Amino acid sequence: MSKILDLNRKHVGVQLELSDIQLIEKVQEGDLSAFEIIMSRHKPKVAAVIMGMLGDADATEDVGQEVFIRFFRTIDKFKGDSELSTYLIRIAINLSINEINKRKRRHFVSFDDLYTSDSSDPHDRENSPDNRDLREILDRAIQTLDSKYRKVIVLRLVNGYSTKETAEILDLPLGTVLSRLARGQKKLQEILKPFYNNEATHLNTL
Amino acid sequence: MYRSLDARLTEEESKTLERALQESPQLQSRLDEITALREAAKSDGHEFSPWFDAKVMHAIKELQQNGIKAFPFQAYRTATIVGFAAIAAMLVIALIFNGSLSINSITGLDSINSENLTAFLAFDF
Repeated sequence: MSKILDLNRKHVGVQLELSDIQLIEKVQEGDLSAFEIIMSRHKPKVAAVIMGMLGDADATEDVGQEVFIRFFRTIDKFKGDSELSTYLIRIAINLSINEINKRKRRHFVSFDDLYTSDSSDPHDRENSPDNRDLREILDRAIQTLDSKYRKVIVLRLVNGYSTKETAEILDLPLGTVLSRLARGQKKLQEILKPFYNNEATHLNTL
Repeated sequence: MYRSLDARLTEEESKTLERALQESPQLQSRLDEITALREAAKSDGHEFSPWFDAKVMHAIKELQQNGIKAFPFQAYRTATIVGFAAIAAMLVIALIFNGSLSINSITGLDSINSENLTAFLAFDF
């Protein structure tokens, strides 16, 4: 029994050293343990991107599963023209947008909801914008952006990809990424104006 | 100003921006705002649940057992169910109003033959 376990560990150990392309070849030969290694290698980036796009842990889990299942189903189509992480993040972005569109059909979140949805009383001081964390409001503000701005903001600002990487993942010209980034940030600043005004008032009273 | 945060400006552009920032406190506060916003936006990372891998592998094994080609049906499952429900509803309505499930009762025509079908389409439609 221990010999079998040792062999198994050795097998996994060898696989851990393989490149993504070599692991994909193993999966194509029917080795599912190679797929598990691919998944463990890339899931942190996929999770961060989907979470940035959706801002909801449950939906992130579901969409994340769909990303890897979709990849498995179409693994023969991956030719290695781009990095596997780029390819997976592209799938993650597309599936997140599908989820956003499904949500839009179900309900619409307005900018006003950013400051009122958690509190039944809009004058509740405990929940007033100046007592909220900028991060929390910012996350929700990102969710209100149009998906074409949201994806560049999430990749560049939230997940820290370079503008070049963002352009490659989204298959967009660099100039388009830069202009969408600028517009997205302007929109975020407009949405967050009440927060900044409140912070300034708060600081002036100190 | 926004471009300066994501791309390298030319020397001339940098000087123009620097001058504008010195001359306009409003522009400077806008830059401070956007810098704070970018800092706050940085992800702390997110992790899937500990059973994520197991769920994916289970789904993949199921997929292998059922055959990958059977999967596209799943995507159209809702449309198929709605379609069958609509057909069933039509049959029930025909049965209630006409007491039979013949072609004539379903289509709403008394009898179908090429002659009166032409007449129906030409004059009554």
